[in-house]
Amino acid sequence: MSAPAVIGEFVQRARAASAEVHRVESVEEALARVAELRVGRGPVAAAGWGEETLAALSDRLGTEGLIRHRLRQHADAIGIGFTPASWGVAETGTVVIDSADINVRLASMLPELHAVLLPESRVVARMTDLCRALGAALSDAPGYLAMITGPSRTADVERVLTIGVHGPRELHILLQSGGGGAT
Amino acid sequence: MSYRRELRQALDDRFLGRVLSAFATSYRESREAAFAGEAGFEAAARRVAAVRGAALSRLEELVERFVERCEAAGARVHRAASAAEAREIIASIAREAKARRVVKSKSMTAEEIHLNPHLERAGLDVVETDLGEWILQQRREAPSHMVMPAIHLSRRQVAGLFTEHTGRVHDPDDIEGMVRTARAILRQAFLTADVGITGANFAVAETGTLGLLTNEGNGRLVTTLPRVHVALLGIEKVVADVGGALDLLHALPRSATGQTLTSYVTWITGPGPGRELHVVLLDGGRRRVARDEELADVLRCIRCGACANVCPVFRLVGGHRLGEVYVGPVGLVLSYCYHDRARAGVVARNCIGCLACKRGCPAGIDLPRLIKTVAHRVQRRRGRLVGRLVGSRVWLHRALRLAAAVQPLDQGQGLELPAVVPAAHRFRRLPLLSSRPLRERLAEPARAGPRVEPRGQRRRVVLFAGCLVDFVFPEQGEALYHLLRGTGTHVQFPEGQGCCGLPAAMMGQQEAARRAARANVDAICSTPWHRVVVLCASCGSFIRERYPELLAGDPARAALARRVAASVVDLSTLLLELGLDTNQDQARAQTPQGRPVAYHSPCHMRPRLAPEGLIHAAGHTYLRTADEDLCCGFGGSYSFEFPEISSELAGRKLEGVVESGAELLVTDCPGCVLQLRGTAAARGMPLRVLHMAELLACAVPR
Repeated sequence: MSAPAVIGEFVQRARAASAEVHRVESVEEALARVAELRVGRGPVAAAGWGEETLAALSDRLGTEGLIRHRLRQHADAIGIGFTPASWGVAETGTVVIDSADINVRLASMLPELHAVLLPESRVVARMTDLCRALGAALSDAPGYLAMITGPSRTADVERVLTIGVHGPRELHILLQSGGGGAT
Repeated sequence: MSYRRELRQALDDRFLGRVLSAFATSYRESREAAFAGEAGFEAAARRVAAVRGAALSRLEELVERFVERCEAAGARVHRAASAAEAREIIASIAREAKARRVVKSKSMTAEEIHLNPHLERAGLDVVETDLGEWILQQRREAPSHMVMPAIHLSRRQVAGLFTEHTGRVHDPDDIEGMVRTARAILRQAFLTADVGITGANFAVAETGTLGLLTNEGNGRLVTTLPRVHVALLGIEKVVADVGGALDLLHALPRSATGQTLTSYVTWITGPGPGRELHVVLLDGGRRRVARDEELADVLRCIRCGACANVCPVFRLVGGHRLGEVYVGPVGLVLSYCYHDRARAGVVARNCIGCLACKRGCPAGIDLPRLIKTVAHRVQRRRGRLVGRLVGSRVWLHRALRLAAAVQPLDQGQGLELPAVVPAAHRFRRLPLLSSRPLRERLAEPARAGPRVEPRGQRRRVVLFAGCLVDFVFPEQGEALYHLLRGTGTHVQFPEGQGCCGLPAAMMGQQEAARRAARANVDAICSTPWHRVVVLCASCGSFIRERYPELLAGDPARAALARRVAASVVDLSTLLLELGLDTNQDQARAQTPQGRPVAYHSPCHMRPRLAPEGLIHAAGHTYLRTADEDLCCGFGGSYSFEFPEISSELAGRKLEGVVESGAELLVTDCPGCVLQLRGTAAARGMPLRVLHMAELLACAVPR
């Protein structure tokens, strides 16, 4: 369980990196927030989820509103990508996403908005707290881990910070209080 | 174009100067915050140096381990002995994949081997996807900074390029609009590319993992959308384990731009199902560098660009004039290792020796020293006369006395160089040699005080004056005697002392520097002392940092040299030790005419002084100026070799001081005094430049 101070630092750091942080009580509430975020946007590409969550999401969004397969073909249409996160890191406001599934990569990179569900219990204080877990995850090939801190950004033109180059313009972290997350 | 003309052109580029200067200032603040202060930086740097050092000490073993794990994870590993081999390997991977389009995320190693032209000649459409690199690709230019490749371009130039590329007018002030356009163009490239090429920021031997840092997210798309991923990396990028990689991850973005972390960090072990991952491991001269004792440390570099960010010369002339592909201080060394050696040797002379890069390097590389090594290797024959004079005190002092006798009469304003001297050198007035050097003045019993040590004096110090104080500014030495009178300190001036040896070392004349070190250690140790006090920060730094090493092989002097080095102290620090700054009220009462005083912190002074107490003790008000610790541009022979840059550094510094409202500028080094006083005089600036010793001595009644 992560101490409240750690959660507080995570929220503050993530917001400092221009991520939006929403506190949610349950997976159900998280799905409701995704549905709200979807208003006025293209369908939700969901990847990295178990059948149960996908079914619940499909109930909320309708078949039109949810893309589960062949994300690449829908590259231009996807409005929101929705993925789970494995860990959060408070010192940098980072979410760590197991992205070995190529659809998780596409869902988190192609759309303008990426929403990620992170259980509070998965937030660690420092990056080095993840050392062993990362070592284990990366030993298991093929492995592809993404650490994401805020939205895509550049300062390549006159050092002016500009959001949303190749990846999402918005990163929404749905921080779920209480116990375990969804599958 | 000659190198000097390139420099002139860069100095005349107003935009470049403005943008680099703004970056230097904001970088310093954000890095400070990202590392949570100097202590945080130093701890991080110690870890990086340890991780990189350990990896390099068993490089072959870790490379083999990495290869084994990579292959076990399903990647194909290609070893390239040379840049040409690496280019050809990558071209043939693309051929086998029947590729037409290749997308790339930013890779300095790909720049190093000039990969793009080779792939283009092979008929491939190569698209850089990092925004800065894409812009440079359109302009056919090399990056001017390791992590901000297009920092030298203005929004106007970039907008012009977008307008030309799309046929649609782009407003220079709508940077977001340009970024949207780039997103659309490059998205299509990602979706239609057959091969993605990346570099790697590190490679983890334990797991066979590649680590990639980007802010834009192009690294993730390049490794996701095309079916084939080629990663090109130098063998030195390998680290033992994830823990080591995390230490690099902690330091890299913080050092690069002052960010705590880049938006994306991607860790890749092996290809996914139905995909190919090719790892191209480049030697390209790295094993040769690893065996080169004098240069091997450069392999510790993590390519953060911090050395450029803190370099005063980079701030003025940008990356294109400081290196070939790799730029900035480390670029001066890497260009020699991997590119045109002759050019690298010329460019490597453009190091002022201020040590800012050494202090700012998160991998603890002694860059100024490596740069000097490069310069000397290419131009071995320089500096023999300097070496001869520095190595022999008798001859040096004869030469100085002769010069003093034939020079023009001192008009009190310093020497304005005659018009026959090229204009670039006339930016400052040069001081004249004193007709009576310090050593003569001290020999007069009335001036030096009692030569017999009075009873009850607790502290004995030796004054090491250095050439500038001895022969040019003896009044600074006299000020020291005046100040220490009545403090219970007995000062001695051993006559066997000469030049500290730094100018010879700067010219690559190691033996001459050693001879000077030997003579000075003998002179200093001819009398007992508690402290060796210096008035010149550069002499102090040279004695402290180099004497132990220069005399390490001299059984009679090695221990003495270490003791001397450990006892060297600058005047201001000595005075703080003596508690001279504590009687502020008394000092203020004596000199009610307190004036606003700014301080210039000499590059070679360690630790940097907090000058406030002493300036108050002298009865004045201290004004902190923004670039107090930025180099004054002197750098000894540097100012004669690169007068344009030297004068620009001095001029900017002085303008800042005058703007602050200060009437006096005080420093702790006669070299800085020479540079700043001479430039202020030549420009007619209303500013007096003094050594701290002189300022303080004024406050102590005669």
